[in-house]
Amino acid sequence: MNTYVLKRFMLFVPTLLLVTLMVFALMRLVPGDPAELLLMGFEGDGQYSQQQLDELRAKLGTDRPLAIQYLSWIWGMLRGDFGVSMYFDTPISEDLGAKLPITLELAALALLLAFVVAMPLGVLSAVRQDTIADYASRIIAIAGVAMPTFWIGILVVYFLVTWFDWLPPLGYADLWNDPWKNLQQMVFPAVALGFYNMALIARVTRSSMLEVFREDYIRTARSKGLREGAVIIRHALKNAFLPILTISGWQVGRLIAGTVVIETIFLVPGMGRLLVDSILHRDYTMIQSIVMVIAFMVLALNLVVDLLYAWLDPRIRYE
Amino acid sequence: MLNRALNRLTGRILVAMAMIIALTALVACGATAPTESGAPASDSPVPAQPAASTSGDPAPTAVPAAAESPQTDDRGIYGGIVPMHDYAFPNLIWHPHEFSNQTKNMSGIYNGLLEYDAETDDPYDIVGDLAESWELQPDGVTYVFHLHQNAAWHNGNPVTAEDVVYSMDSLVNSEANRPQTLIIAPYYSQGNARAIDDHTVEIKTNNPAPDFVPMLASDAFKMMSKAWGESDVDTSKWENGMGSGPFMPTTLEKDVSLSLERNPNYWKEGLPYIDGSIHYYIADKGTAIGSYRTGQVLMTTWPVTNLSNTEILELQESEADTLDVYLIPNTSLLGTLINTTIEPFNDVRVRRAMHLAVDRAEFREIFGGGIAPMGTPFPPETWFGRGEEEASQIPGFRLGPEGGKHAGDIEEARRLLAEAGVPEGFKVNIMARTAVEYVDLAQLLADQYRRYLGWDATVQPIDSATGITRYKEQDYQIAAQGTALLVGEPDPIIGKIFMPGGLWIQWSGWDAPQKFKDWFAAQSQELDRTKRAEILREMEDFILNEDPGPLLVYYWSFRDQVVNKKIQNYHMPASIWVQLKHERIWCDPEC
Repeated sequence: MNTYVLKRFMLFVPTLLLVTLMVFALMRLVPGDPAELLLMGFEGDGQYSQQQLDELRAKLGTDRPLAIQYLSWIWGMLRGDFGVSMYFDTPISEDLGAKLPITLELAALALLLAFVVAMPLGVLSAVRQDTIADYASRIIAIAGVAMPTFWIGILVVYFLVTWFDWLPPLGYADLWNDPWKNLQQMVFPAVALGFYNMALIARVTRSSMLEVFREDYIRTARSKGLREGAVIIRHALKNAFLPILTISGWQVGRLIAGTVVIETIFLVPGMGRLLVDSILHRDYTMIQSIVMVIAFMVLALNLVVDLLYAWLDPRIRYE
Repeated sequence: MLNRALNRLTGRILVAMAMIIALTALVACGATAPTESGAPASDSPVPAQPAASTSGDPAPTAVPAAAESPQTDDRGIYGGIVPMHDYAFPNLIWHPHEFSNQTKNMSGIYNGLLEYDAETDDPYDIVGDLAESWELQPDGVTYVFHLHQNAAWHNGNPVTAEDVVYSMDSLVNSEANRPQTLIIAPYYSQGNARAIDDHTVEIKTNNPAPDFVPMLASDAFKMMSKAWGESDVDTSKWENGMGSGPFMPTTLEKDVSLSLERNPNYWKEGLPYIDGSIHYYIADKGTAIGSYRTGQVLMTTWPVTNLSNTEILELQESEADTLDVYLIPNTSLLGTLINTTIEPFNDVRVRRAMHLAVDRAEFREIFGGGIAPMGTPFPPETWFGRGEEEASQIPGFRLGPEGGKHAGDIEEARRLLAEAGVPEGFKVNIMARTAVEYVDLAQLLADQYRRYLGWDATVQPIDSATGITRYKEQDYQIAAQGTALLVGEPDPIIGKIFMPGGLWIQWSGWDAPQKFKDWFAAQSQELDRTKRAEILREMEDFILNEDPGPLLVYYWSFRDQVVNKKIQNYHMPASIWVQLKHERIWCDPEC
């Protein structure tokens, strides 16, 4: 087991290296000079001299050869120094420290809400196969999978404004300082963000449960006289959980990607919104750092999910 | 047994789901009650009009106002923090003369020498701000400004003539980043200002310059303390901002909000009314509309939103009881930017054909809510632009007997293209930055050129940063583009679009003929407005009849200011760059 974990960690290195190369190269391939954008302003109305442009490029380090820029960035990261935001001129580690917990909170809440709704929905759909409850839950699940996250976000805002004449309070409230306001701000983006995941998990839960219901050990459990609830929860659901866990693992990556849109719609000042702004401003250093953090998280979560397999199914061994 | 288990399970699922719904409702309903939106509506957004003083400012007082505000005076009500909406969060360099996008948020921290009167309905009424009065000497180039004796910086030090001299020179410091304020460089050069005494300053312009005062009165030209500017303080930091204005900077939450609080020792007696403002960054259109509807924001920080004219009009209609929408004409335009350095667009016949084939009425109807001013080269219905009725008879603007494009214009456009050797089915790519409504505008233009010219027109949406780079490299054919103008006077408009050094000239490569440049120089120095208007008329005639230059205006867009009816004493400004201090508004009922 330890060897397996070690090997997986070793694989992190080439994967992350590839990500660094890709994000670095892609940002340089896309037109747009951060120094020009800073001088011209968002609307491109500002005017400046060539000397000012040269000075700013020198300050930002974008006048150096690409290889030097890349190596200097990598060297900085190896020392735990993400550098300074080209647009905001503030330490990136400070921004990530402030924004990452917000995004993680949102993603975690979205996943929690998805599970809380999807699992019962999927189980109900399976145990009541081909009944109205099944059809209803399948319609919800299909709708959830079919609708893009940003559309759900817009619908939620529309619903809140039109029906309740209310929107989550503006300005961000920290979870620990003002949990109630934080909940008001986070629950709706989490619902919008997690709706797709809920739908997918519900569908997988249903099909997985239906498969398990046909297994011999379920029949045996019933014939032993176990209560049906115990059969469903303890025997069927636990065995049906592996595929659910598999998709949940890679859905976390999708969830974090989804925060990019949802955080913008719901004014959540997390990493996704920062990423959007950074792309618009061609804030290379910030984009690179955020992408690296996301890549690392996705890799780590996939490893955690793999390890959870063994815990859930004792037959699985990684030796 | 199975059924019992299922029923129990179903029951639990229902309970769980009910709990989620209840939580949702609890969060929504248990929150702070929506802002009172049913404020008693008056016929006018402005209650009792205070009597305007000759200077536009309250009488100067020897002693700064007391820190504790009274609750009301005979003019307005004190107190309250006004939540405002911004759609783009600027970068974090807050020097008062650097970068243009910060001006809207910094305006309340600083004063200008002059300002546009925020308490009258005349949008061109210029009054003193730090200057109590001013006069132009008979030579036509020397201005003498008399400063308020009691004007003071936030640290209590008096505002002196030396501060003004220092600020004027800073505004045109070409060594530093001055993307906005260098616009007055043709009028004012470093060293042209001097202090006559502590409270009198003389400023000379390089030539007679009728647009100097209107520009100086805009919010881009703020005065700053010489001691502060020369100190070791990092003047680019928000929290270090120190002016003489009605507000002081407080918190800045990156990507979330900016806050200002009232200056308790503001030297203008009795001002400001509100205790402060908080400016929320809301980029998403739907959320912005929702925030206005629910009263979470009470006004836009400045008359710029990311909503189209049509969306703004719909918002006004749906929220007529709670919101006022002020549509400010003629300070921005939307049109086609032409790269005149490449074929066939370097041929004036092609540009004229393109001008003739634009269906401006359609643009105004679809994007301008049917009310946006006509897309003449100079803003219509202004002292230097022609009236819409007259313009509607001109080729390129006139309509056919049954509406729609005039057949004669299409015929002439096709003839010009044939003469220039541009074939039917000519491929044209319209670049459109994914900002404002450029992509939608480009789609309509493409459709019109397909219909009227038989061109194979395609639209290329492109992100804003890439678009600006391509403009700079002149790597495009034509583009849907707009621009906002500092003030609605001729120099900023023509200078930016048609004259060498102007941004659009850098992007389009158009070189105006010498006579056009001579006209520009002549009108720019002509103090007699009638004579100036005559020269400007010749310039517009040239654009309409000879060479459209690099720009085909679709329509003059309204810039929109959304103001909740709670906000009192708000008057529509002349442009997006004026009346941004918010020192004279108040809330009723309280914010």
